[in-house]
Amino acid sequence: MIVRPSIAFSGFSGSAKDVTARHVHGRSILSCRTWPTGMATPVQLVRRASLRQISKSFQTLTAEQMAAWNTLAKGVKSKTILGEAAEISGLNLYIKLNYNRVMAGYSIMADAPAALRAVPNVVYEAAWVTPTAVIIKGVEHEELPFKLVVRMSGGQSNGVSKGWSKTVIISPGMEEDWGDADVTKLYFSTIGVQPALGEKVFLEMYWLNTNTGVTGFTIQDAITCITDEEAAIEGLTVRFKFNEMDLYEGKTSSVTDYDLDFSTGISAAYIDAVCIAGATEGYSSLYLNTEFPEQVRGPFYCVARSTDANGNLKVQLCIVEVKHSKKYDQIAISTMGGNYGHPSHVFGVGIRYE
Amino acid sequence: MFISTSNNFGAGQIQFKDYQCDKYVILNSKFTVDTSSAAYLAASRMEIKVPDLSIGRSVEVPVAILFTDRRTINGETVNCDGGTVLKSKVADKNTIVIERHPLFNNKGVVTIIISAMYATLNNGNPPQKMQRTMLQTHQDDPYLYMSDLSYFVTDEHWVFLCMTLQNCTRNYDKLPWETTLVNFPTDAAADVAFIGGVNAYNPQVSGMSEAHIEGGVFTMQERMYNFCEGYPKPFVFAFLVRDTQE
Repeated sequence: MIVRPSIAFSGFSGSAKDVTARHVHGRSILSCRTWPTGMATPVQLVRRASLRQISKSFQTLTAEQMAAWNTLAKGVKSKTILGEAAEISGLNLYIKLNYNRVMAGYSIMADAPAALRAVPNVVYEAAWVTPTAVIIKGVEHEELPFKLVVRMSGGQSNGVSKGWSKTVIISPGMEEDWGDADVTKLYFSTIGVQPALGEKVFLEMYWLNTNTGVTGFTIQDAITCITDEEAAIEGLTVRFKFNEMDLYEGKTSSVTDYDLDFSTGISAAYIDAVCIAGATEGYSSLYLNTEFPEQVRGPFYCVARSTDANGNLKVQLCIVEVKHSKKYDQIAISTMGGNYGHPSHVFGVGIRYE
Repeated sequence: MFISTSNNFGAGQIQFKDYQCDKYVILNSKFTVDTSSAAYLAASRMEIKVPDLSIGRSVEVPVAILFTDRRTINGETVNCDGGTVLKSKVADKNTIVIERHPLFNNKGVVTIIISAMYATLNNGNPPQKMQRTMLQTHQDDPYLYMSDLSYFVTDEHWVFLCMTLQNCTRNYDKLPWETTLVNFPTDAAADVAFIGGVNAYNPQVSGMSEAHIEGGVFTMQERMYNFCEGYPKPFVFAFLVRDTQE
């Protein structure tokens, strides 16, 4: 609770017992002092360290840079307090925008942006939470510099109607993947516990302009955890896309950074992978524990371009074979034409044939 | 067929043969670019503005870039043409972009050949695989042989060719080539890049030469020296638009 006290309390600042006083733009404000409810989590510690670092870095700016931030801040209104739109200082704006950027993996920007343009709203079709998937579908694409920030809560009792205060950042800035924002791995690694069937998960999303740090309108949703079968009936389809799968440790893989996607809607596969050469020139392979579904097994041809440190750009014709065996599954990439060169980047679309 | 509305690298109008649907676009085009021009050097990437496409974006696919290099060696003019593939995609429904690689800065006039399928993703489960036809060639006086792994895949609106050279009779390796592609759709016509060969004078790139397919016939006027030497062999990887009546 925040109270604007009478003239008797003007000028106070600091905390005493359960009260914190501060003096802002000529107004004295008293509020209840907040106390941490438990040990800071590692994520909170990192976040607080970032805020401290960003805050301190403001002092290293030149006078001109600080003035630019102050000028920019004059045109920005912060949240209203007691019905009055509060102004935001150049320092606070600097911290706010840079915190958003740093969170998304970008560096602190010393120069104030020339302008703060509007950020689009998140438009999406549906979100699902199941024991194996946490995914938002049909996200309308926005080009860079916009990235999607996703916040979600752990599973809450179904009786909880407003649990958005419990959301934490699951993805600080991601690009949607052809309409999908699959945060399954991020959710389970951040929250640590999968929600139980019937529990409610609260979702918040907004676009972040990674150039300026400005965020858009936050949309909110609440999703009940259902079974995979129920989600399939509701319309959640499995996408035949493979990346970051568990490697088979009995053999050395020579393909990295791979993305194999069979969801073109036609008899064609898309591949984006780096071959770092295998034991044999012109042959690279990825050995996996995951079993490929039968629909995606088989070969297709594709083109690769060498990417070595000498700047070579030799071109190869490659056959990509998605294979299944008892011990491991495999993506084997062999040179069939052109010029050898490793490492090489295999990319593009290949027709899958019988 | 459509013509570009503008570009940011100083090329003139660019003509495209096309097949478009809601999941992908197939484009065939060949045009030249002056890599020494101010417009080209100023562009961070090559952008071609076009009338509305049927898709709003695509994955990255390879397109060929080919430069001419003729040298006099031992009193003879030798073809040392070379090239590579650049990354290209549909960036939005009116923009096709092609990577601009610094290796080609100030390389004079180069040729870009597009024989690509610009595909989209997240369109549902993979359907049945397509049937391929193993490629056979016919010449009255045989001198040109393609690998028996060469094949093509036919669709109502396009054909995909994956062809690797096996060998050429020595007497013909510097002469124009012509061979019939047996049962290949006769309504597909395009220039294609034939990529490979050991390019000793431009070791950073592949050898590259131009070929043409029309009426089911493959022709190639000339090619890089050493085109037939070495292993692996040169190849064609091309999607060709068929001239089907709507």
